[in-house]
Amino acid sequence: MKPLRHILFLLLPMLSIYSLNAQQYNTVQNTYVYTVDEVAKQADIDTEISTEAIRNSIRWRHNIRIGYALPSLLSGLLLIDFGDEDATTGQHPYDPTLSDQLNDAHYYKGKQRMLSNLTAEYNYTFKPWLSFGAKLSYAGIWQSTRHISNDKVVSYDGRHIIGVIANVRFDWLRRRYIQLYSSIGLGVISIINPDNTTVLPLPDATYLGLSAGNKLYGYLEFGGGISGSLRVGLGYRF
Amino acid sequence: MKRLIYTTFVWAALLLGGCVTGNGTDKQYDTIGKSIWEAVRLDLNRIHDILELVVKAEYILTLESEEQREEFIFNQFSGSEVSIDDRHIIIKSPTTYDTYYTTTILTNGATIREAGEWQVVRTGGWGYTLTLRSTNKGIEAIFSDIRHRESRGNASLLLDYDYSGLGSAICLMYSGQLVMIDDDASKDKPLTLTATITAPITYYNTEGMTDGSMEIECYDELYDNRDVVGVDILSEPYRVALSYDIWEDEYNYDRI
Repeated sequence: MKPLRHILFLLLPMLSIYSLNAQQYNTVQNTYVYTVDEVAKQADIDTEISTEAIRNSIRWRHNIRIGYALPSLLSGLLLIDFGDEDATTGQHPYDPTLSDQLNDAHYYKGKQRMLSNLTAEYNYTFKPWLSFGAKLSYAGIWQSTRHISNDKVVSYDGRHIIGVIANVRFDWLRRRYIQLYSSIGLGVISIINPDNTTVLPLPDATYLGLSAGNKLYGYLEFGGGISGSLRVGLGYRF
Repeated sequence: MKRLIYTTFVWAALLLGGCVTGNGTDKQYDTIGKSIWEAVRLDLNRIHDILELVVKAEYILTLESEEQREEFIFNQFSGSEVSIDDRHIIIKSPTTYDTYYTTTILTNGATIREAGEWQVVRTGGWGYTLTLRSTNKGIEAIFSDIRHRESRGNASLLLDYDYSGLGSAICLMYSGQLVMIDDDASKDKPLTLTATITAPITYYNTEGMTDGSMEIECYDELYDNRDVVGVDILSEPYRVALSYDIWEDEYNYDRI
């Protein structure tokens, strides 16, 4: 089921984008059928904004995005060893007394769940091809401990990774509805465990990104570092 | 727009549910049932050892000639020094650590069955004090001050036994209650095991426990856990049936 769910994660944002474009297409179709004047007006606007103009002008200054990503090698390694220290409850893994052994047996672990990177990002465009921004990233893994007699949750153990990244983005293909870009960033992550917190500086990069849409758009990226590997999401620019 | 909202909503719901990356652990009813039973079984085995020794010591007194006694001691107390006078039997036995423990039996001059009143004390390593008394209900075996590592306790048993000398098995049959306090985890808040024998236990030194039932209550003051385990010792084939809460199981155990 896990691969299926991952495929769904990818497909659903794409469906969202498709849905949006389909809405726009329908609007144009309706206009064509019922209001010929408006179609003519729309055609004038289209001609006005030439491809060259799109390439060399700053169409949107502000860019806000939210997304989801599969773990990168880096973020995966930070999450994957959670819960490995003990097969039962992790309280008394070595040479337990009878009392400890019996107490541990009164509890069991629920399913372990992982939420890979959720991101929120803001970019400010300085030049048509260059923008600077900041990204917030969250990834977590958690598991409940329940009592065997009534299945009630007695505690949640988890590891939460929060990252803050400053990045530079290069838009190297700029079309009206499609953009291709890459970005590079540097940030810090805070790894919050039940009993300690570690802060580390780490890099982040988007090797190849594709955004599709107008003001509201969807994006698909392939990258590495703090904010995951294969990333999808929605954005709004103005 | 509606379609966009729906798909985004489903997408968000899937994300918030998270991916299942591990199935967790099973409920460990068997660990509770078996651990409690095994702890009591080890305590009962020590009691069996003590009672076997007493039965053999009593048998020595029934032997009339010195040769018969020497032969019996040679066979049954190999490696131990046994000294007997009118009212005392002292057995000095080696341990695996090159030390000795001493079992001192003080009798009233009679065998246990014949209005005897015996006191048995073991010192060195683990220890206990046992008082055996013949009553009209049977033989009372009162253990006080059982000490073994981090455990201490007492037992009150009604005992019968059968032994006819070399070549025959010792058979013990008893009922009653055993209380052991384990303070390995905490001195102030120990774990207490109370085994109440509900159907007499039959024990052979050649086969182990072959029959009987008990209910074991385990109260752990440290974690405030109270568990009750039901135990039925079954024969042919020898096995034990344990029950705890909604869990029950039969398994072959190391009986001796």
